[in-house]
Amino acid sequence: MVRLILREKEYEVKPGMTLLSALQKINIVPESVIATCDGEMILDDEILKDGDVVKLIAVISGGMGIATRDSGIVSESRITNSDSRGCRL
Amino acid sequence: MKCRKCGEKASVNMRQHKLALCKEHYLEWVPEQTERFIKKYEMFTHAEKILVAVSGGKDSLALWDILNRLGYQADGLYLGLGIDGGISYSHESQRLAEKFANEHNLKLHVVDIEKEYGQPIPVLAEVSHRGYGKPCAVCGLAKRHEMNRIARDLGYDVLATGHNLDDEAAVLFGNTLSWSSEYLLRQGPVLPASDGLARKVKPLCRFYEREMTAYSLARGIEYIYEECPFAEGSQSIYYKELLNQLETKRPGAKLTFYLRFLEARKRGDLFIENNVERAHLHSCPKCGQPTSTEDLCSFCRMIEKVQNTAVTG
Repeated sequence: MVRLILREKEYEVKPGMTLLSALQKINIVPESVIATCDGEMILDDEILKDGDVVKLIAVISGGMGIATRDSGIVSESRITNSDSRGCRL
Repeated sequence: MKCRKCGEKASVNMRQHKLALCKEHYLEWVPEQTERFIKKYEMFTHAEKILVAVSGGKDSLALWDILNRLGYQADGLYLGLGIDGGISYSHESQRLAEKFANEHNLKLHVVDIEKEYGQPIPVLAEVSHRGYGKPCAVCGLAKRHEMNRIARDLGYDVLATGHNLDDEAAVLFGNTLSWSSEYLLRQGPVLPASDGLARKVKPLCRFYEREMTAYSLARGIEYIYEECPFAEGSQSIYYKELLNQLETKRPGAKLTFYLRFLEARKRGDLFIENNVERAHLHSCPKCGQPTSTEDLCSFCRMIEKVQNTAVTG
């Protein structure tokens, strides 16, 4: 699975989809976040691989980048430690 | 996606410009564009002294970094607001502003509102009963007053803030919804100096907030990620989120909204400026800054009220 982390929320999507598709699936407005993986910024066309941990950085200070309709959150938990594959930016 | 300049893997894609760049070329492109905007809007020259309002956030630190890289004489001003909100907000933002200044060998002026006026912003707001339960109105008033005072007292030619295009588009959106013609006429990349007010400029006003985040990350600038605790649920954040939904569907919508407004205002298409009555400004008898009344300015009135309350309470 691919994990996407935004502030204190965590989402999971299946590998093989693009970042753009993943953001649409979890209902995050792509324009409102920057995605990083392994310390590098990645773009909408990046194909997400199994085990990837994508850190989403909200670009609006204080904003969550989440649209108003149902979010389709797969899992939600507080992140206390970065994963060893997590992003370091 | 490939970098347009070198063909390597791109790190930033700006759909509104149909331009994708790698990290290296993006870090060259941002200062080049900033220089272009500074010249286009005649903000300042290399001979002038600039005071950058630094909050510890990504935009103001990025602005300071860019001006420094471009070789401008830019010092920083940090205002200690005394906001904690359970996350030591002011303390942490001051630490980051000072860290940036030290690492880049830059001069940072630190002014603490509580030391200057006896109380931190949340208490000033509470005692003065301004702002409907939130200190944002008092905070804005105090920041405008102090930034202008310090720029003037220390002999700076211009005051620069890190407002980005999303900030400007959100303000424009709000003022358009309410057709606030007076505010619309005042909005722009440059507010010229007048009647005791320092010139104010916004060199980042044509960059998306997303681009400034990317710049700060790519430059390794450590900034305060959390917004002020009092900003949660604010109208400006709501407008920004709405505009980002629009931008996702219509790349370039935010930029067009802002630039077409500037063009229309310049041509005089929106409102006839001469018909808008200009308020005559007086000098505040206490601090000397411009005010629309013949008595104390709003800021000094607020401070006087707080001090009187403290004495009688």
